[in-house]
Amino acid sequence: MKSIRKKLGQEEMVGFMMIVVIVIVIIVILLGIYVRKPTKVNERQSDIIYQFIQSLTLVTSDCQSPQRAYRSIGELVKDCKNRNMCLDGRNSCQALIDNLNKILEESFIVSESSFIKYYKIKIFKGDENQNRELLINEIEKGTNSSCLNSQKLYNEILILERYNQDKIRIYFEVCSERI
Amino acid sequence: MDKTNRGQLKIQQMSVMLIVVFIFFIMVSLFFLMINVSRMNRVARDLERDRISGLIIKIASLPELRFSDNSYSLDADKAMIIKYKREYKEFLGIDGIIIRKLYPNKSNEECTYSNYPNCGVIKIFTNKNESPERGYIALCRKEVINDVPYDKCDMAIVMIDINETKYK
Repeated sequence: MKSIRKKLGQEEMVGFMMIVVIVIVIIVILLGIYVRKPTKVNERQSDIIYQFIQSLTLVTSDCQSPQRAYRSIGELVKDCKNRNMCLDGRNSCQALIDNLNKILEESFIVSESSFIKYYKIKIFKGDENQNRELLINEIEKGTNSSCLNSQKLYNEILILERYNQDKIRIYFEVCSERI
Repeated sequence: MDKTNRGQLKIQQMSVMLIVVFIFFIMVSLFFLMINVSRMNRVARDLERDRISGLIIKIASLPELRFSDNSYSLDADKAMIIKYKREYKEFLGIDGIIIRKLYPNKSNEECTYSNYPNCGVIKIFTNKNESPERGYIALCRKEVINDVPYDKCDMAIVMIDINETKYK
C-alpha cells in the first residue's frame, strides 16, 4: 500500500516536471523570437524626409548658367544629366556634388553627440525599380551599422524633364535617434 | 478521516497548480502587452511627426507666406512683413513661427528690418529660439544679378510654436 502511494507521488512529480519543462521551452522560444526582432533595422518612409528633398531641389547653388542666373539644385541635377557646364567652367555634376555636400553637412550634423548617426543621398535616372543608373556617386556620412540602434527614415522624389520622358529620382535616407 | 485529509491535500494541490498557471498566463499577457504598447508608442510618435510635417506644408502653402507657387518654400520677404503684423497671429492660428537658416551662412542673429537679409533667424510672434515641432523648407527671395532676376533660396528649418490642445 505504501509503495503504491510512493509510486503515485513519483508519477505526479514527473508530470509536474514535464509541465515545467514545456513552459520553459515555450518561454525560450518566445524570447528567441523577441530578441531576434530588434536586429532588423527599424525603417519607414518619412514625410519629413520627403519635405527635405523637395526643399533641397529649390536651394540655390553656386553654379551660374550661361545666362548668369544661379541654378537651383533641381536644375543642377538636370544640367548634370545633360552634361552642361557652369559659367566658371566647372562640370555641373561636380558642382552638384560640392553643393550637396555643403548643404547636407549643415542640415544633418553627424557626430557621436548628435542624434543623427548616418545619411545617404542617391541621384539616379531610370525606372522605378529596373535600369537605375547613378547620375553621381552616392554621398554618405557616418556608418551604416549605426542604423541598427536608431530609426532609418527614407523617401524619394521624382523629377521629370519637360522635353522628354526621362525620369530622375533623388533618394535620401537618414538614421536618427530622433528627428 | 484519512480519506478526508487526502481529499483536502488533493484540493490544495489543485488550487496551487491553478494559481501558478493563472500567474503564468498573466505574466505572458503582460509581456505581450508591453511589446504592443512600445510598438503603439512608436507608431504614435511617427504619426505625430507626419502631422507636424503636414502642418508646416499647410502654413507654407498660404499665399501670405508662400514663395511663387511651391508649397515647399517660404517667402523670406513676406515673413519679414508678417513678423511685424500681429493681426496675422489670429489668422495663422499658431503661437509663433521660428525660421532658422541652415545653408548658406548659418547664423544665430535675429532678423530685423535693419540687418535683413544678412541674418539667420526670423522669429514671427514668438521670442523662443527652438520648438520641437519642426520641418525643412526652402527660404526664398527674389534677387538680381547683372540685371538678371533669379530666385535665391536657402535651406532652412521651420519650427512651429503651437498650443498643443488647439491642434490635437
